[in-house]
Amino acid sequence: MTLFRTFLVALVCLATPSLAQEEFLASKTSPQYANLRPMANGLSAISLMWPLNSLAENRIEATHAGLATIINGGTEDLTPFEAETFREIKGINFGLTTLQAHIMLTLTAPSDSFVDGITHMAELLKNPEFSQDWYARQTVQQRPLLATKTRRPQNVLGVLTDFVLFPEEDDGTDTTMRTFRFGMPSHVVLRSEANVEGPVGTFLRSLPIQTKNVPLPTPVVTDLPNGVIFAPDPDSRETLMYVIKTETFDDYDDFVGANLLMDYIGAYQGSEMFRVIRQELRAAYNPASDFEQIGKNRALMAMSATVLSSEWPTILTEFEGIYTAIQNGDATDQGLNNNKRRLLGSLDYRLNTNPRWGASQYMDEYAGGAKGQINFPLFRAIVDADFEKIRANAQDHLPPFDDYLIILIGGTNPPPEAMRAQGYCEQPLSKPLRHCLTQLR
Amino acid sequence: MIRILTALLLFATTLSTQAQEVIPLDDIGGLHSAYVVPRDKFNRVDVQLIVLSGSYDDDEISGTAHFLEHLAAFSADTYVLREPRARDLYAKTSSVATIYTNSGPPRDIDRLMKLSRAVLYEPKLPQDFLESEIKIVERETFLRERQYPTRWLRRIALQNLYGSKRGRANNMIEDLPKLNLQTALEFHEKHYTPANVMVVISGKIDPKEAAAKVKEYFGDTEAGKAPEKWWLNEKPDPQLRTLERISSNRLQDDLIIYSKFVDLDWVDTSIDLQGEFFIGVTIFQARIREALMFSGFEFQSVGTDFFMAKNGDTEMNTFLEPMPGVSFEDALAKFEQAFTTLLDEPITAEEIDTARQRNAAHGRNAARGAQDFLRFLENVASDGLTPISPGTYAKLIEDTTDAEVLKFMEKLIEPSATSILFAQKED
Repeated sequence: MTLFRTFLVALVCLATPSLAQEEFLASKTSPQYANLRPMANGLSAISLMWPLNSLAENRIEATHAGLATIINGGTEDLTPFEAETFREIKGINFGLTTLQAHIMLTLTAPSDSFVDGITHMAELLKNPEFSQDWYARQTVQQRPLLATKTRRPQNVLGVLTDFVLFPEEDDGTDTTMRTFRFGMPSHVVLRSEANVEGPVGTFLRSLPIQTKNVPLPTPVVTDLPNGVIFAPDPDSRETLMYVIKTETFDDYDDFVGANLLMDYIGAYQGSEMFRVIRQELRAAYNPASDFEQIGKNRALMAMSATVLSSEWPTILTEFEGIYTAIQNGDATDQGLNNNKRRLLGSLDYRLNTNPRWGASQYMDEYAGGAKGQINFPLFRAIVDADFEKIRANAQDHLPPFDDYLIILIGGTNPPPEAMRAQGYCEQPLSKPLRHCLTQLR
Repeated sequence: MIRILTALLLFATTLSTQAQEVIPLDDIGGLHSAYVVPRDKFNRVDVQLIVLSGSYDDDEISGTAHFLEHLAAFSADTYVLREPRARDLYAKTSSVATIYTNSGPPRDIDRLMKLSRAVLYEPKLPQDFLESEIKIVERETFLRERQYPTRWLRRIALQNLYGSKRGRANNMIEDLPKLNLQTALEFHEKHYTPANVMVVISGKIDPKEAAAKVKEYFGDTEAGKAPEKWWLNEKPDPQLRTLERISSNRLQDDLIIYSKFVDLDWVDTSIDLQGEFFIGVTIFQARIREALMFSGFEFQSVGTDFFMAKNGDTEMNTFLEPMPGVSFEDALAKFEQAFTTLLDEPITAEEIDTARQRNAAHGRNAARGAQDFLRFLENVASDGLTPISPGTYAKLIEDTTDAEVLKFMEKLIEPSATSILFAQKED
């Protein structure tokens, strides 16, 4: 008898490595359900959010790859290729977004094929055809971008956002042989003119709920470190300068004040960075600022430019000069008004055409669920922005320039010793920026 | 110029297509042509001034057309911002055209027309600003080369394909130090002549008002002769097959670039090929994708873009990203096997119909957004042909016969000049 038991255990141990481990993401209860106003572009959309089982970066990438594998799979009636063709012809589109503690799947379709889209999504999710080959490909595609190679400011911003939201890089789980299933979502956001609550209800009822007590991770609020990161590259004569800071604001007035001032500094061709760094100093093609919302009243604020390597110290001084002037309230009504109009216009456009943005805003404001009318106070704060107050409070809206992390990618002109006092890390080009971010933390 | 953007196809959505009428205008002075495309969807008007010369027309120094685009755009506007600017400049240099787009609410039509008209005047800016703009072009060029490696990988592949560093291929980086104001101004004089310029007004505007505005702002332009497109006569040896290997630390992954020239010699102008081109490349994309992405897993990604010149010459550039561990040789063999046997299984009428539906969805999607709509208009217009709106595109696709599609497909896969580049990533 003992011998038999041992044999069984040995069999299980031998078999385990070749068996895919299944991960099941689902809510234990019915989802929080919200209807946002229909979009203005003739499209309908539904976003489903599932709570992430882990907030470690390797697990999030695996979950993303797992969901991508399922929605690129086939159904009982359609091969994966036929399913893709079906979606193209019907105008059905899937999008995946990682939120602070959830993964979000958004289905977008023209209103007249929206119900077909929901039915199709239901077939994909209910009986997923999970191809390990496809998962392996998706896993490769989900690898962190090497922003040290692409040197696109948006890539740097993306990598830093991931670091701030998901500071743990790897929780030790082997994610290579894994399958995923997605059951009842915890949140649903609908955007449709048509009455589709019947098909949506049928779809949701068909999804399995979580029956186990799965402990869910709590999001960790992390800031970027201070200091300087330098990625030398003798193959390039240019340096991407990226100066960035995480900031938590007191309220939306504070948030909008900072947003408008950062736009004044470097957004659009009417900005100070464009005027001074491009048109007067002729130092960079693309000087710009970023203001990226990463949660309720939280944002990443940044200034960037790609310049001749020998010139970066001069341009960094210019960055500081421009920033300090605006921090001292040196911003005209005309410029602020231009930026207010553009900010309101761009967010209004996003709300009306981009269901993922609207759903993310909802999750920031109403993650615990909404009762009654749903409002996004960000819009009201922009409309009410008072330029006199913003100038007067500019020192509060904008943190000290010395608090920013400085990232220099490319060239062979290293930062002088004096700049390294708050921390310094030399970044290899072949490694993700996380390498230095972790060291400086 | 005709390009298929796979990304747009993937985002294809449906919206009831309205036939956006493309109305030619008559009283246009010496302009090559002018059109109005009325559209009520957004409360805006867009004026596209399309100079029918682009980077392929750089006959001495690559980058000249692009440098001039900067000068003309800033000359037409203010060069240094005395007051915070309320609008951005939108100008771009493509292979065959340079496009200046001025957009605003309908009440701004006069300002938009003035800004468009000003592009035809020789750039008037302080001398030091004109000359120092070369530095900005340098910064932009190096920036884009770094950010988008496919730009320089494609350049190498095309230099090998055409055996040239001018015209359809370029020599952008080596020529940067040679950029100069004099050559740019000479380019302006030769190419920014009214006979080489098309104006397209689209958006919320009455056709009669658009006609009146074109007459008012361009009616005084004088007729002349458009410059020759010498590069149209340059064709590679049909027997050519080159393979080059490079390695670079700028790459995140290994990449194969497969460039092929296809001489569609039974037509004089690409206008006769539009329907079969769009449907044909859609079938190509679908079959290649099915073979390499759905029936096999040797590739991370496969993407192809096509360029059709106004004389029908077609260039195909496929970008293949092998999965880690798959050799260049195996990946190329897999792709060429799929490509050469593409038509072994006959194309069915149903498949062509599916391709039509995909294109119809693409057209409807383009009609949905303001920027996509403008890109749609400027696509064929860049060759000096009548712009195709999403609405007219739907009809074009519908009117194309299955036989025309099959003929195009057969020609596409025939052996012809090919250039292959293996680009290996370095750490």
